[in-house]
Amino acid sequence: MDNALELRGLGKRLGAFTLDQVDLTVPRGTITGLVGANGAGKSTLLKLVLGLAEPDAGSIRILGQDLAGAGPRVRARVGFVQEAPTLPSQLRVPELGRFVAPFYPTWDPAAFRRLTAAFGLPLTTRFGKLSQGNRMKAALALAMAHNPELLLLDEPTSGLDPLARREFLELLLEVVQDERRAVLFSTHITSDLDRIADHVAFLKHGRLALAGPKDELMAAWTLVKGGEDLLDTPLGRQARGGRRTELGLELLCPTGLPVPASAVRDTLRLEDLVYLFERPLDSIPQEVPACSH
Amino acid sequence: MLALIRMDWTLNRRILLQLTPLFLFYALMALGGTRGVVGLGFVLATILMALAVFQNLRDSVEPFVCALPVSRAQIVLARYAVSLTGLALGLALALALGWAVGRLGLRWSQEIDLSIVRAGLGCQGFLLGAVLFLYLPFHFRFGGDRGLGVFAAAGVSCLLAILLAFGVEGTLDRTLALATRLIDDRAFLLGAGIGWLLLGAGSLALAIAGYRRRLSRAPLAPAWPVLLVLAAFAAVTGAAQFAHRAGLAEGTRAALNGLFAPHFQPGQPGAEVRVSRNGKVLMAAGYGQAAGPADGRLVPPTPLPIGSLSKQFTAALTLLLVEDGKLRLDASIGAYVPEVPPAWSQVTVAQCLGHTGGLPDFASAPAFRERQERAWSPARILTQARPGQGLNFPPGSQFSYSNTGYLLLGMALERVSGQPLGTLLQQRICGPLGLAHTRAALDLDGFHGHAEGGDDRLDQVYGAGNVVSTVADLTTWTLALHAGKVLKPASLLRMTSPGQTTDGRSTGYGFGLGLTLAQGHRVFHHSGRIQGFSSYLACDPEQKVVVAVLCSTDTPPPLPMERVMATACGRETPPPTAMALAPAELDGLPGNYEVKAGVVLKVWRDGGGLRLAQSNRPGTLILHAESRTRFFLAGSEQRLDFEKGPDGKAQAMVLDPDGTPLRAKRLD
Repeated sequence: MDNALELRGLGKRLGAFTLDQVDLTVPRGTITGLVGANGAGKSTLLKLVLGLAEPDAGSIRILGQDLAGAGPRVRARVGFVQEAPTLPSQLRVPELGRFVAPFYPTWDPAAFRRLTAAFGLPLTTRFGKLSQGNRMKAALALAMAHNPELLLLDEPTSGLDPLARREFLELLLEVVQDERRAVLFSTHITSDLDRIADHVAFLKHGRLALAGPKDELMAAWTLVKGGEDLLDTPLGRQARGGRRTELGLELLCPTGLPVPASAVRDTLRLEDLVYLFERPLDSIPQEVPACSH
Repeated sequence: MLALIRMDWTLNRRILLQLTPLFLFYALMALGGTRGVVGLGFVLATILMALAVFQNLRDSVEPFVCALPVSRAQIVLARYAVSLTGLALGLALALALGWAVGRLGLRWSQEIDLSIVRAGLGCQGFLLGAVLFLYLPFHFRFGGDRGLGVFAAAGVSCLLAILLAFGVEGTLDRTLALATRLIDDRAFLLGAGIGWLLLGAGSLALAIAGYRRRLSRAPLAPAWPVLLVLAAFAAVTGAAQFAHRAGLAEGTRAALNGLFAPHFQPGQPGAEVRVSRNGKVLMAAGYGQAAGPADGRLVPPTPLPIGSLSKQFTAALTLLLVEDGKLRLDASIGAYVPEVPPAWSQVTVAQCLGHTGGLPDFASAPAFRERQERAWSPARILTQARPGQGLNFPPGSQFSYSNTGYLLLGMALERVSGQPLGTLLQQRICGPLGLAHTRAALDLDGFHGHAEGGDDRLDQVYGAGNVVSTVADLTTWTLALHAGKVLKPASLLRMTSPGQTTDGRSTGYGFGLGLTLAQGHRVFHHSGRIQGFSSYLACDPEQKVVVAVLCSTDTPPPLPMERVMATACGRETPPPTAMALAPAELDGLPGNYEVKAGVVLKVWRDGGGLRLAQSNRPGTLILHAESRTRFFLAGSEQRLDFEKGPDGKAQAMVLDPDGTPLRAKRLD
């Protein structure tokens, strides 16, 4: 199985923000979720992949070709949805299709009509007048009508109501079913990933903190709850992050180490992994409940 | 590439549609003439070009476009192609409109000169293209909003630096000189064209390089920098315009002054001059004695006899009474003044007004000119001052300036209205228009202090020359007349349309008004001369330009009136071209010509040409030949004709042959 996307040592400096040494692969037939807090570098990474900015360091290979060398030709095989898509506001959905079609040799008008029908998009409303969710769907229909081999989606679920989000995620699952196509989508909503992601990449402060198949990642880490004494055990010393609660400590530990009798192993959710990874114990005062989605 | 260009069309067509009324508005303005068409080209080209440049600013679609499978170089190239197309389209539309208007031959379009339009649009294309080439690298390096800000800051600084270095006038002069050179000098045009293309290529390379480096992002809210730039642009151009206008007004004033000043000496008979345009006085000055006392005290306006300018008042009064139904233009003058000789009865009122009746002119009759006592009654003028009982030619067949017709008209006006001419003038014209200093005078007694003198009675010549006025009043009067404030439209049209002789030739004279075309503009003019005074009044009603001159001498210096009018209208006039005459053809011309008793014009040979001097005036003037008999004075367009006898020897000289001719007989 070859890779739809390979990033090697990718670096980019934008003002005060630095994307540093990112290595990431997105295999065909998988959905890769890119998670991270706001400002972690998710959008920057996607901009580099879309060619909106040139990387300062490293390489980007898309569908086996170097982006810097192949440029537009290989991007014709990629579909994209940008964060809060901005399309010409005066155009209606069918006009948007005609507007984008000439750029893609593999554009399929019938597929575009099918997608817009399936999404229930109004055909006579101008893009500027569409709801947030419908804008996203229109952008997605535009991104998928040329049968792309790689879909790059930047925060596609933000702004969608729960029902629309669920429909959207189901659709992504359909996309990758033929094992040839791949999806990379960024989100700060980890529950999206729980549902559909095969791979997870976790960006933190411009660095790729964790990456790999979701199941392997989940299996590699254990959530342990216990008293202060946990910190003195071998397990506690191996912990890669945690927090203090009213009930005691919650530590994120590598799987495979013996858990002391005084402590309990708890179910690890992706959200916990993302939240606790590399989190100093006392970074947030106890009284303030940690927020999560 | 093509898809990108098509995309521009998709994005812009709606805006273009919305702008259609604006384009139509500008197109209407273009009907005004050459300047309108050239201005239209500038506006159209700028709008279309700006639309093409900023099309993706509106919806912030730039990140989307950049993410499409196209290269940055393609995006930049497409933008250049579309912007230049917009520029070319705007100029082509203007050119097409200019051509179409010219073809249609609409009344307003007489002025449209396609060669000037082409040259003007070419210069604009050149300039706008250069601005585009300078701007686009900023656009692509910094983005549409910031780029515009940076460019505007740089541009305004450069403009200010240039203005500071050369001054407004200097900058405009240099720009105009450059434009002229582009039009006239082929080699320079070729060089500039190559430079322009190189600038374009460099700009393109810079833009592509700059765009590669830039992260595509949605622009900042595009409104404020654009507004800021527009405001800055408006402020700078407004200030420049203002300064330019002020400079222009001062330049015009100085140019006008330069046309009058050399003809007058302090303490000598002088003139009051007023030149105005659109209600604004371009120049008001007194020369010679009229310049006022040396201590600079202001002197109140002095009403002076206006001589034959009175004829336009007489004509207007006649038409007013025609409007009242008291007079008929096609009625015989004999119907109102029965004592005229029988032969004169066939002359109509209209023919009297238009000098086509063939009435012998009493003013040039020797008996009148050489009379000992100045005060003759109208009856005596009619009986003694006319050369004969008959007519000079069948009525209507020719144009021949005759004071007699206006004398008769004055008598007719008094008889049908039952009022003295002065009362009629006051009631119907001066009162309503507020001409406080204009009235019919009885005699010249009161004016001796201002003039070379004269003791003619004015009331005796009735409507031919009975009015006194000021340059300000004359300006008000002529503007009111042409604005339709005096006469009904039909009457005004009649008064201002040139008459026709029976063989269909135009007389170039309406009723009391001469009419010429100066570079396509109608100019109404008349001059006047009466014992001790002379006058001149010209008006271009379309541009509302009025030139009024009152001189305190009846032998006025050769003032270049056509040039004055052209200067006031902002036109250039080529000086008349002199032709070389064989020395033998000048042989019969030198001699002394008497304008009036004591005033003699001396003409003599000077090398290969002729010179002229006036007995009561210092200095000599060179005469240039325009034809074998027509000459003009160097430094002015004042013309004079020589009347040659069968032997080729001149018998008389006619001054101002196209205006109010003054015949000077050869002595010896």
